[in-house]
Amino acid sequence: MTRVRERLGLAIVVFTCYSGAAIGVTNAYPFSTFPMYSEDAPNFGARLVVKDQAGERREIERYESWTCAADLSFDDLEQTICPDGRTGQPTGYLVKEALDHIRDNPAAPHAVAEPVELIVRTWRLEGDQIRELDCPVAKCTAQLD
Amino acid sequence: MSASVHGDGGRPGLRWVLAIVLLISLYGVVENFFLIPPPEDSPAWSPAWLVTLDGLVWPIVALCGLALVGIAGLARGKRTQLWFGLLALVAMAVLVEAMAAHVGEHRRRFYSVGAALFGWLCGLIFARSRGANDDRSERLAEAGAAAALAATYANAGLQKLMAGGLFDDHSFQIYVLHHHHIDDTSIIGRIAQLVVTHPQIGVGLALSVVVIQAGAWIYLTGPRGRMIWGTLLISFHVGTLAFLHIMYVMATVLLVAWSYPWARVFARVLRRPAPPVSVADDPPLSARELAMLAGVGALLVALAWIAPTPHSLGSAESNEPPHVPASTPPTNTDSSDGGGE
Repeated sequence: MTRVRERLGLAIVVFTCYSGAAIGVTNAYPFSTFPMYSEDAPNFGARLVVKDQAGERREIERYESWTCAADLSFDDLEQTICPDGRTGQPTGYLVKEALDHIRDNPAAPHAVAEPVELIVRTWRLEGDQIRELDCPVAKCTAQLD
Repeated sequence: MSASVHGDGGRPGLRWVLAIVLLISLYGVVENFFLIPPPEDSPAWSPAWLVTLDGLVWPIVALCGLALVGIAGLARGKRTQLWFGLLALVAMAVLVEAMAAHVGEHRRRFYSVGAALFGWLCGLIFARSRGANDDRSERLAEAGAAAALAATYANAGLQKLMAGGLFDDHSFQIYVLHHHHIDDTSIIGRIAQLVVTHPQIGVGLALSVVVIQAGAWIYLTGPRGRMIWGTLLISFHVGTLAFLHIMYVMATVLLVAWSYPWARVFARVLRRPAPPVSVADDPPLSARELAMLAGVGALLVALAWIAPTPHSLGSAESNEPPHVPASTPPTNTDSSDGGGE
């Protein structure tokens, strides 16, 4: 009978041990089952973006010199109501990054800012079709970088 | 077999890579603590003491100091690297879990490097038990780290396989819309648009992701297996960056370092003689030794299943959580992970 070499024996045991321990604890450093994207099939997507006066949609990071008419709260943004009466739910950490960018780039004294709309662009899966919606968040002014 | 693909002289480099990636990981933890404001409510799964720890600066600074000492001792090598490595692992474990309580979600990119350190230390402990010399010890450490790193991908693949949601006709399409920059007009943006307009491409990509991740055990089958599957795993990360703007830099660096025979590559580039093939210091295990090794592994798994974790402690407190208002719904712990490093 072929005997297992020590490195392979160790590798098999560490591989099995890590996998088994991770299933037991789910998430406790250094063990994790890495369950990202293993949930039920998603039925919507949403991104917090900018819509300019011409209707062009761009990422928030493309703009600087921000001024918004309302205070932008993370919780409010996560629960933005869409024209269909349902909420648009952009990914939390992306919303945080976007809000950080807006706060870190306030209106500069001589900036030529244009009126823009902050929206949550939402894609809803309805049957076999994807419905696109713009869910308004706030009126702002910002300068395209 | 799980032989090294790095040849002589490759392993001290791997130890340094592991130490550097741990340092990057520590920097990332500090950045999360001090630059990202905490959520208004702490996650329900986090025990109160971790949240309390987050509110105090000195324990975080002390833990960072301990982690730094541990990482430095690991990088230095020698026989004491085992104890320094254990110190780094424990300090990082508390820091990463406290950080998860601070930011309100698990940042799993930190776990890959922790897994590699765990595997490295398993190899060193096993080497000690077999009276291995320094060189053989680091070969075992390298094999252990490779195994734990491969297990992280196998776990991810297994989770996707069991849930099955990723294989839905529109899942990948929705993920791309959700994560890809809306104004990307580059070639990658056009390819992403192709995935959005042709959902069957997304289904094919989802299938390939699961095959690559679930097949990560092939990484342990030998030098060729490690190079081929390492390349596939790196391709998976590049694809995730291209389509979803999510990059696991630390895991990718570890894969690049672990997957290729760098000593030979550098020798060829510098036109020096190739390093000798690793000597066969890979003795077989007796049935008794193999049973002992499997027994210790099973014990560790059992311990992980019964030991208190932040989640179980948080659940125990959930009757009257001191840090979560009663009306707050539980945070979804399966939320998608953070993007850049």
